[in-house]
Amino acid sequence: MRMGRLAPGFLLAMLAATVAKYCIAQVPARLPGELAWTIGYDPKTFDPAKVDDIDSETVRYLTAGVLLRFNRLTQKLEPRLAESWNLSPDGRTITFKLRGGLRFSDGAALTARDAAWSIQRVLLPAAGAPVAEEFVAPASVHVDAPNSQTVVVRLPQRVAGIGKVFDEIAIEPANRPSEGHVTSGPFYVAEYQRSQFVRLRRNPYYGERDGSGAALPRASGVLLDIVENPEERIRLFSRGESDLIDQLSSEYYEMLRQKAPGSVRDLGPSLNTEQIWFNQAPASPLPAWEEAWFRNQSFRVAVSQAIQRDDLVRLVYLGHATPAYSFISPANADWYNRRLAAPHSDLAAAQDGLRRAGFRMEGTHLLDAAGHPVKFSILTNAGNDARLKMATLIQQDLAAVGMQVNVVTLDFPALIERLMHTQDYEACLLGLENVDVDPNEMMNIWLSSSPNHQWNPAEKTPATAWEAEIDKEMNLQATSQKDAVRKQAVDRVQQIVTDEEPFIYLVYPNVLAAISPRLAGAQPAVIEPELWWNVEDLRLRRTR
Amino acid sequence: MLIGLFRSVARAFALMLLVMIGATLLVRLAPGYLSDAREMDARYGNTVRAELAQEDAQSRSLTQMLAREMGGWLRGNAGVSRQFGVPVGQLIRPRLVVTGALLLRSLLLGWALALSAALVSSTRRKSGVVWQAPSTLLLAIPTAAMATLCLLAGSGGPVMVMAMLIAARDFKFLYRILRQAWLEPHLLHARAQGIPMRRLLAVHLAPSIASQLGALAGLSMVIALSALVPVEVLLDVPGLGQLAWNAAMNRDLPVLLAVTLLMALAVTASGILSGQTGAWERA
Repeated sequence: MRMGRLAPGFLLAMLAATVAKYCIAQVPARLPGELAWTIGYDPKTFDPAKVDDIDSETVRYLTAGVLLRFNRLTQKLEPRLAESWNLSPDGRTITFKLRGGLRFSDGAALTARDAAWSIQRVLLPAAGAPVAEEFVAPASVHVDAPNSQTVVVRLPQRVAGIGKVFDEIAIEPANRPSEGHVTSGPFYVAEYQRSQFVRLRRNPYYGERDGSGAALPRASGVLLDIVENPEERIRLFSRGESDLIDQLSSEYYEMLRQKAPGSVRDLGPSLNTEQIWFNQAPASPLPAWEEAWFRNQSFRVAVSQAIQRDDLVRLVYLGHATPAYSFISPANADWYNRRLAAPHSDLAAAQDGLRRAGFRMEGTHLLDAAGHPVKFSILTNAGNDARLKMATLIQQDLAAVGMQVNVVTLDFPALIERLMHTQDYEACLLGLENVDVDPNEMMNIWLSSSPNHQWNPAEKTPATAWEAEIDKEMNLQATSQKDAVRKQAVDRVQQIVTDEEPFIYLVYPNVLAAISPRLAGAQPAVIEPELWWNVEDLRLRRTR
Repeated sequence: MLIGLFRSVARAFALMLLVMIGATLLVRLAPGYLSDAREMDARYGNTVRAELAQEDAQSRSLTQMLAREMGGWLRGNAGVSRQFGVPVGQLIRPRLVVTGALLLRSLLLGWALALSAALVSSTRRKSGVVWQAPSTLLLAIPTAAMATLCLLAGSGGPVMVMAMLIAARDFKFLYRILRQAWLEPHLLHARAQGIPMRRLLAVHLAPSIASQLGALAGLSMVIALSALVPVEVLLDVPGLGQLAWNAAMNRDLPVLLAVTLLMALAVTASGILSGQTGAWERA
């Protein structure tokens, strides 16, 4: 038959062409001089006052004109729209003097009235701005603009690290918020294709200049591709369609290191911690003997001593992490307690501690004084390979002291429900992302009354003497005007936490990033946004 | 025939209602419905707790929830996404276009591949293993694994994965249909008379297998829809499958309900069309 002889070749050639055509990934075209990188999801909002997710925060950071900018490298505040700023001796009045000739991206003049309106807007309960909570009592804050260049903010009480809050408040045109379309920052939102990309264009009226007097930002815009899949992010970077990747996992770091060694950076320990904790909440449905183990300091210390942190670093993070013993990372040079006396990994000490606390071995199993076998589950979130591997290694480490551990993974909503609502869990392994160096940002974790006081949330009164002491020291650091007093209080809290081990810190994952050789001006830092905190200086190198 | 069509539509409506009730029940009873990852974040804790308290008050009773969702749909309002805080329609529309294009391209390519292979192989006397093996092999690979392979290899894309899946499944049916059709007396007679192949296909073969092809088209649609979530999630296609996955992960009932209803509608519509093809032929 003719069909049988002639058709196959023709059909296959036609189909191959069709397949090739449709197999090419569709990505938005990059404009000349435009930087590009990826974000995980659609920003929930472009209204800078209502930002409550990481992707909206990215857009806010890139578009918002702020009075002060926190330099992620020097960890100091720098004036931006404000020419100068002054904090009164009692720490309750902040006066900003604006630069002259400021303009919004649409060319309209920016005055103190706009700045005052923008600050007042985030303080209004109706705005529901998360940043308002950083003022402690936002309803009692007064904002005035006595003249066109001066803004005065009066606080009802001193707030530690208040200056940095202004790094998060976008100055918008008074009475006409534009959801990022009219900004006073380096870029403005030019185009948004839901679930595909956000395109930012350079603000032509942005007043910042570099040392040589050249106008900033250097890039013509930023293209934020919305890419959920981490593998796809790596692919885009490898193909040169993305200029940087932050928060790389160790596996991807190693993979990219082999392909392009010059493009990856290990910036050392991050501010983040990975930790395990036991449920000590009286409302938990756990049997009384388990509650007794978890409230026993010797038990917690023994668990901490039995965990081989070096193995976690070597096997889980491929060497890109640092063993952790405190909630403050050594990357936070000002606040890390270098004299911390921590119970390091020591199997013999762990066994001895358990024996002294009334536990005994029967064969290969550890029993408590009443004869209950020590057996519990560690919860962690599904989809995080590093945590699952850590939990598995901890399971092996604790088996060496006779503890039988199960590892349970749950998706995040189910896990949060157990932690925050039902308290139906025994132990949990999770991480904590610290976005700020100031320990005042961790008040919600350490104050016993806080819902985020994970091991025993929302205590009416501190359950133990050491928790009461933590409350006292954290309140002291939050209100003291003397840096030395604050540092002493935070050092003391670090020591209490290390002695009592309500959180058993495991590792500080390193900050791993990939930066395209085409990208000039990058100065990676350990504080978010690690790679593009100085976006004004970033540009693409010219290629022949 | 009209009565049959009316019955099919009524059945579809009942099915949609059941889908709505089932999806609402499953999401509401899923662990973590009234929780949010942002609760763990100090910066957003208070805001999100207020949102959850409001959600809790509105979803205490399942009947109340069902009434709210159904009322919204009857008024043409699919609600507001819990995750993104925007009307569901805004999330669905751009993704519907992406998914529609993906389905159309995959179906066309899959059918073209399957039909070409089946046409060629069905006319051969000894074609069995050589033509069947690739199809069997492709069917043995789970869709997610195929998508992951494409991703790791850095070549191929969502259309190719879906088309391969559709082609592999449809080839088996098409091969059998064509093989039987070629042996029918009128086709044997036509071939013996030396009628040209183009005419043979268009005039003699196509009409005799049209109803079976219609039924197979419906099945292809179901196969494509079943592969949509893994393909879109793994290959990062901003379509309805990816939206459905995110909605499930975030217990976003309004979005999940809308996507589930759309999928159910597509499956039901293709079922009705397949059924009607047979009915038309019989008529």
